Amino acid sequence: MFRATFGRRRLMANVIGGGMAWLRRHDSFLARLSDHVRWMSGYGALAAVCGDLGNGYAIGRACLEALPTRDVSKGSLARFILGDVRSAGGGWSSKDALARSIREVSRDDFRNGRIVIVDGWMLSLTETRVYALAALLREQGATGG
Amino acid sequence: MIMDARSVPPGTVLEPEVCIVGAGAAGITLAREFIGSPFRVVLLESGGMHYDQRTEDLYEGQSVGRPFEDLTTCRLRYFGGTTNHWGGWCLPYDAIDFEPRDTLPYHGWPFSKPHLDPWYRRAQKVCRIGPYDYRPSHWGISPKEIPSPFSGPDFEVRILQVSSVQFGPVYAEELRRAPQLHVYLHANAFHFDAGENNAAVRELSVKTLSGIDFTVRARLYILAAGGIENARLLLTSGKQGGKGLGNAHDLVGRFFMVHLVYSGGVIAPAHPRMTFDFRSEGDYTGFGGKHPFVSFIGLPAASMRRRHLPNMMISWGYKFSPVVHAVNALKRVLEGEGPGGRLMADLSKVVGNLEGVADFAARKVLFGEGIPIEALEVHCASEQEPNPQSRVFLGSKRDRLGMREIVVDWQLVPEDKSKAIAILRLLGAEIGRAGFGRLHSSLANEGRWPSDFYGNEHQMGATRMHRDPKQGVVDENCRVHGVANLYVAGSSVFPTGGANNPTLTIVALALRLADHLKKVLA
Ligand SMILES: Cc1cc2nc3c(=O)[nH]c(=O)nc-3n(C[C@H](O)[C@H](O)[C@H](O)COP(=O)(O)OP(=O)(O)OC[C@H]3O[C@@H](n4cnc5c(N)ncnc54)[C@H](O)[C@@H]3O)c2cc1C
Repeated sequence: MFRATFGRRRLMANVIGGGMAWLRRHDSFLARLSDHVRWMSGYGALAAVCGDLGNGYAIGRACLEALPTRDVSKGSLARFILGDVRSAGGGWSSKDALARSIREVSRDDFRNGRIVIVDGWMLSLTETRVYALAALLREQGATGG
Repeated sequence: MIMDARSVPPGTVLEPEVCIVGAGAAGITLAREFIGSPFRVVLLESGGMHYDQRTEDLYEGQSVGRPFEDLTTCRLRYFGGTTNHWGGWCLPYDAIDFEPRDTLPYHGWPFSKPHLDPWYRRAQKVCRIGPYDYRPSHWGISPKEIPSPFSGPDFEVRILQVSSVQFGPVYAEELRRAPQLHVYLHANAFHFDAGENNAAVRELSVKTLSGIDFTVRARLYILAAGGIENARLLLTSGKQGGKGLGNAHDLVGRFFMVHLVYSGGVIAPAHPRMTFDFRSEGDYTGFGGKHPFVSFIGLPAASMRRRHLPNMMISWGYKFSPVVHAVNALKRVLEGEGPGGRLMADLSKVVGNLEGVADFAARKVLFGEGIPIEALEVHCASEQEPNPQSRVFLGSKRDRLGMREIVVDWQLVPEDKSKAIAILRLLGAEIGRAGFGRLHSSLANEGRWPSDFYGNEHQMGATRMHRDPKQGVVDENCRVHGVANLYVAGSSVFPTGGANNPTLTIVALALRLADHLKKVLA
């Protein structure tokens, strides 16, 4: 269903348009971004990664429940995920590059005890956020929120 | 010689040097050590050569604490004892199990593992298993085969050996042929009389279910009646109306422990075709024979120490993806083994997974890749913390012989669960860190134990060993504190239970005790 909503072209349009709209409405977030373009591409890649988790809606919902409520807007989730990827020296030049970086950051999470228990599953904090973001994107679309 | 106590003339007094109560793993091992020695030994066994319900009923008792196993199925009351249906899993305790641990109360033995090593070596022979060598690499498991979460620093692969010795059938003939060894079947040790001050056993009264009573007057007595019954006999003995033998400090029956068994959860592998087919069980041909072994996952001592964790044995079960069932079905079809209706079912499985079959077969041939796994089930057996509130004591009900029945009040401390959770968290983290998969833990949060949780058949601690009479029932030589000539053999003397199966340690301790007693007698 997620895939249907996010066909490739529509996805890109959504991602770019939505990302812009979303960024415009979040001044405080904007202020923290030194490299707008880079972050926008990160957001696009992230949305695409989330799109690949099409079957993961149920777990995404559970992840949303497991995270502190203050962290569960699309904006903050994206910011946390990309921020951690960046601090770990990871990249997001493409969806695959971001997916690889997220895997690396997730492994670091496990190493550093950043673990979230979601319905008994022991997930890394980063992957929990990615799943949660995927669920939000599916529920709310790439814009808004 | 093996005799039937029901044909002993009532009122008989037997006067051997040594009297052993109970012919299980501990009692039979002890008795064998006296074969060929100048000492006359009487071995009293409650049961006969085979299972008998009336005798087994003497094991009946109550459970008033956490739900505990049926007391008449978790032990067996006939010649050979509970080894008549044991699993035969053998391995020594880990060195850390013997050590005092800062953060684990009451932990530690009066001696270290290296002290017990010579007897462990001999115990291997008694259990008729391979050499005293438990290094997986020496059992054909190459370190390269071991997936990274289980090759340190927090988890490691270990092996145990499998004995097929049932002590009764295997050693009966040897005991029968020993002239100075008298085994009495159907002979129930009933009461140790240790005089007014309980300082030394003067005599042991023995009863049969057929109503015959007789007496044993020995120089030394050894209780080897099993993890619970040893405590029961001490509590029921001594002066009339007293607290029992060796119980000046109200320790007999306390610190009762078992191993905690439960499913730890499921690992979803990151890659369904990951290689995880290093041998989890098999026969190893080497060391001059064929030796069955089983591998499992344990915690290295450094990890337990660093993280203040108790011991745990983790084993696993495979949940294969349908393709494996299809491959097996294909084999059956090809070999024409499918009986009747099975053939159709097999064919449909094969057709349904045709692609998978081809893929699997090709991969296995081309790349030697592992078995496609849907999930790995994680099974845990963890150490219970010694706890004085967990105990066995005498109830008011009496068995058919007139002995008070046992009441089990099995209790845990909160740390038993919180530490199990911590270990599973560590496992989940390791599995994630290595990119091996994700763990669904059945004990992720402080809540209930998983529904299949139980305390197993390894009954330990109820007559614990400690040099200080205020902290233990027996001393480091397994002699009951304060009673000059009474000793205990079996897992009831274990002050800490570790997570490993106990019988090899029971046998090693019995051998050590026999050596000690020979010195005492000489
Ligand atoms: C299903 C099952 C599987 C097991 N698998 C394993 C395993 O794989 N590995 C492992 O290490 N351990 C295993 N165990 C535990 C193992 O069986 C025991 O640790 C071992 O048998 C204990 O030896 P024991 O001599 O102390 O006691 P027991 O073997 O219980 O022998 C005690 C003997 O004392 C006799 N007795 C009792 N009361 C009296 C009395 N008043 N007078 C005279 N005689 C008396 C009994 O009849 C019995 O013969 C298993 C147990 C069970 C139930």
